[in-house]
Amino acid sequence: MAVSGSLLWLLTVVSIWNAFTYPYFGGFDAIEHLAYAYEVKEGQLPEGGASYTPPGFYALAAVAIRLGEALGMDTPEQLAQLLNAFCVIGSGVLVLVLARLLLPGRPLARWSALAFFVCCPVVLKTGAMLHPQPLAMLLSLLAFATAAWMIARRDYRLRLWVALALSLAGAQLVRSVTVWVVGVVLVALVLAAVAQPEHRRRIGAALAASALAMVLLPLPWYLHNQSAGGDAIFGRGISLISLESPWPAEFYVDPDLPDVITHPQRAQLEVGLLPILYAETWGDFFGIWSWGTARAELTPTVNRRLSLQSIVGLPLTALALAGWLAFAALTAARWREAPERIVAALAPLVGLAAVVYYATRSYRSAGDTVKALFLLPAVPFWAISFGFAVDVLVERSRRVGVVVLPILALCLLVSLAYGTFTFVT
Amino acid sequence: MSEWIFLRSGLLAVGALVVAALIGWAVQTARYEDPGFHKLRRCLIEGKGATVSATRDPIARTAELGALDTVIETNSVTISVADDEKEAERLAASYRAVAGELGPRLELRGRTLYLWQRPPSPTQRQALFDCTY
Repeated sequence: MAVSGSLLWLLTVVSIWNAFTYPYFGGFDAIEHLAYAYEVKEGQLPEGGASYTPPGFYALAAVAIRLGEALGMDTPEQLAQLLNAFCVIGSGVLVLVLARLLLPGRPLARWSALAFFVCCPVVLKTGAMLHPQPLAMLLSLLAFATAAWMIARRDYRLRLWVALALSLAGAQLVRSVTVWVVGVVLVALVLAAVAQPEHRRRIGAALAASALAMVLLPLPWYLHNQSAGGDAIFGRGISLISLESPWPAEFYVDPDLPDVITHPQRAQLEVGLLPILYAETWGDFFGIWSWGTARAELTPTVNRRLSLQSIVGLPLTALALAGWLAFAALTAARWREAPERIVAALAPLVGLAAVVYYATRSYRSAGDTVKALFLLPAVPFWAISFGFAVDVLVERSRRVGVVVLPILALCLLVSLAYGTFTFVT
Repeated sequence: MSEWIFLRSGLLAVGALVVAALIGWAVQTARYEDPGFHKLRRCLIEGKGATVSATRDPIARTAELGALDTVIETNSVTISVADDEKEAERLAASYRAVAGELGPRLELRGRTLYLWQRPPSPTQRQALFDCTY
């Protein structure tokens, strides 16, 4: 409890620090998001800019900005950033809840998962921005945790179904692309109905009602998007069914060695799915955090720090990936025993598939539509996979644990320092 | 089966991916051909509608990636594409050693060297800069 509490306290301090030190105009498409929040504050939806994004986050951001103005703050927008800091802290709590549910009685797995989440730069960077994605992560995670709780505890009370439907509808009203979260939750519950025949009828009836609510609640937004932008989900006339890709095959598979380690930034790294996702997760490919316009120049010193991030990200990524592969295979082999694990087994894969799909459908030659923050709702499950791997590894051999744990802790600390704004350079 | 067996398989799979990536990198490095000269040649032919031919210039022919002759707006030019800036400077020094100070007729841009028949106009220079890789 003390370890988990300390990690959550650390996450709280860093997130709030970042909210008040990171410039509100610094994040991805910040001006568009800010303009949207101000339009909503005036009681209208914007035209152009980020108008294809649902208004959920902007409605809350507008309230936060209004509060900041009432308090006489010079930059009331910082309260919208603070809102995102709270989303990240809330997500940290839910990572803990999920780790307890999916890996009960295994404190090391829980602590490792939370440490991974707390120190992951993509979480801390996005949490500092004025951006809808942290709220989408929180609501998605709330839905995942509720579904996992229901299945694991065989607790199918009405209020949990209501919470599930509301969190999934809410996530769609923040970012339409979270529709993949709905898919994962529905699949998990259907499989739970198969694995738990005594609850099958109850799950079936409530699931149908909840699914209806998940569709009907965000429906007005989808209809608006369809009429305004020509596409219900993306809102930008993107073809949802064409499988033709404008990218060459290398885009999907080339890790771009050695630049992904030695020069993990867009000035030198080729545009590719894996290199961008990796460099953005652990460092700053696009130049919105530790270098770029109105920040530091991309000097060799700055590049060395980015390179260090790519290096410390290697063991963490490798262990998270191995942990997920093991966890997914274990879940597939024993899904009737613990169907709640299906959520964690599917989420990283489906989340990645959604990012690949979006990158394919919305082509930008500079790779602007490939961003690690789109994977944010899946990061908690990479964290849980990491925790699982660490726990199994240490359980297997204490000697290996004595060697590996300090190395992993050091990598996490270096990443935490990078994700703490102002200490970056 | 214990969890360790699953994790061991996961670690082996990740290890295999890493090895595959390293082998791919090694093969790519071994087979890599700098496309700079071919891109320049294609740009001149397809982008600028210029006629290109192999150069007989003995200095230009020592350029690592290649050299060619072309004509831009009636001004003949020999273009040499070196491996790097250092080699390009060596080529420029060779020209000066045999022909003296060539002034604006000899121009170095990155690793590409241009030897014009007569001093180029801004549009002639721009046409070649558009095809610099």
